[in-house]
Amino acid sequence: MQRVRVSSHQAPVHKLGDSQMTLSPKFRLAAKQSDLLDPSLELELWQRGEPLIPGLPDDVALNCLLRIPVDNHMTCRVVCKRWYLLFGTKDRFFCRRKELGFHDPWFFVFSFHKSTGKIQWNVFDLNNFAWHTIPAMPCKEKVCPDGFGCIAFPHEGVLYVCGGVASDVDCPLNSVVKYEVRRNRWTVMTKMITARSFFASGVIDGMIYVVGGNSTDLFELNSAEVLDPNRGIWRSVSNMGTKMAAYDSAVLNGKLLVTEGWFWPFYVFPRGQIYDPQTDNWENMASGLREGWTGSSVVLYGRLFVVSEHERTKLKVYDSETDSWDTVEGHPLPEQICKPFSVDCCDNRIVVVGRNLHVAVGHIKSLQQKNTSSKRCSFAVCWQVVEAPESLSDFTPSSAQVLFA
Amino acid sequence: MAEAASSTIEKNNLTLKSSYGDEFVLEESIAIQSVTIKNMVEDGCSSSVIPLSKVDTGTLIKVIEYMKMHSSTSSNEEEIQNFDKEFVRISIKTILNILEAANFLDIRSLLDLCAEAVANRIKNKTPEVVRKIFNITSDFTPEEEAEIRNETPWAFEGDLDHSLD
Repeated sequence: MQRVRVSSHQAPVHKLGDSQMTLSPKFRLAAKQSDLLDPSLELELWQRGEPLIPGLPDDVALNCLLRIPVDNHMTCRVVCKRWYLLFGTKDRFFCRRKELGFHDPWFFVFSFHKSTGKIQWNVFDLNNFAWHTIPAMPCKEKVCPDGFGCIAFPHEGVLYVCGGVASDVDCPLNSVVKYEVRRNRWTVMTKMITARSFFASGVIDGMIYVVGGNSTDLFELNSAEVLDPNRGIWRSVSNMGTKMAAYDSAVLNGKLLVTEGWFWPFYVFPRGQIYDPQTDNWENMASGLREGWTGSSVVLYGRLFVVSEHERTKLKVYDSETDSWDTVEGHPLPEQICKPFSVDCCDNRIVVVGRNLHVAVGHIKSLQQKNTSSKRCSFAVCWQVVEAPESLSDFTPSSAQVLFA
Repeated sequence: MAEAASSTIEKNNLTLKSSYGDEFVLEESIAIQSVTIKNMVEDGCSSSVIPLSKVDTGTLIKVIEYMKMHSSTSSNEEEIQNFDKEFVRISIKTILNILEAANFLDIRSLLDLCAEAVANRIKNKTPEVVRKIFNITSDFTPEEEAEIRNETPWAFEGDLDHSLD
């Protein structure tokens, strides 16, 4: 059996069905001064009547303090003991946010260091435009930063990372790990049936689907499988009609759309497949959809938008009635955002992160259709750029997911 | 319903009384942004003056100013945004008072606006300055504080804001 190796400098990781926990040095440090992080201290201070902010009821004070960006927590926790307890650990902070009903978007960017190849998840606070990091993801020591499948349950604040490639032996992986914002911790989950990299993935009705990709023998796969996260069991579903690796995928109207995308020298049209979990059937994708799918997609307003892989191009949106693409009004992707970039969305915003982790937030507006005969340009975008701090400038994104917390 | 129709003018106005005894007449449609007041109106407790024993006059004036702006049909989104920005350019003491009032009166958007403003006052400040602004006394021993600072010495370097704004 292949075990996921966890190196000693990494954060605590739970292995499913295993009560043993790997303690990182950082965690041990925290455990050592448990007298200050002890929950009973919180109760004691509260009973003594120590307010979080003098003059304010605690729930109102919490409403203020839980908005403070994570990069400020290290200074805030020195203020007093109650602040230390609130800002001492991210899991506690995010649990309190949940208790008070906060549900704001955080952009989780799976990135790697340009020269060392080191993988790191950097988190961008979409309210405060501030960055923080999370514990290192448990995985094999030498992995290719691309080829993983990252799947989010945004409103639950949960993220799955499946598969990928071990770079030293060029071998796909079947490992699955889960991150939960409110525990600020990774858990090793049940492995996929088939090891795969560069595959399609998506969530439909709470189930994770993974499809195709590159296999162990370096051929492309047509197999597909589904995970019920509540039961933790993978099972096979119908094979795709064709063997292919995925360039991009999306879930639209309860179906999983998979495209292999254009590849050099562009002689052949890209193939595309659509899976319907209701009937467990695959069908071919309409030609306009697969040929025009030239970048990373998001679904907003129930429509498929694509941020083209080419820099400085305009956003486009698919029209299923005419099997064609419309250009979104407004400026093209801002010039600060360079390849490779990763894309996700929240509410009515498209969020794009590019090289050096500069971020562009595109506010999408649905335009009133005055003239029903013309279906063109029914959306407009307004871009806002947030340049990354110097400390992140050596990172390149490989995937990005919005989680609410 | 007949009763409502017979006294339309009277029904449309409410009188709010601050803790200092000052009375403010306000249209009901504006005042019911406060869920507390809305509930009182619906329960029929609003026939006379509504006493707000927890809200002082200065705070009540600010709260009414906010409610008037946010119920005005003539102001657009941008005007309201600019108003909000200006609205919280006040002393932290006043913000905390408005926060308490907004909490008591249950005006969600005002509570959020002021809570955000408080968080903004804390951002990038040194612990000493935060204590001074909010009148918080540190309950750490000097040894404990030194230990916490030593865990992340980098957090106390660089561009921290020492101003008391």
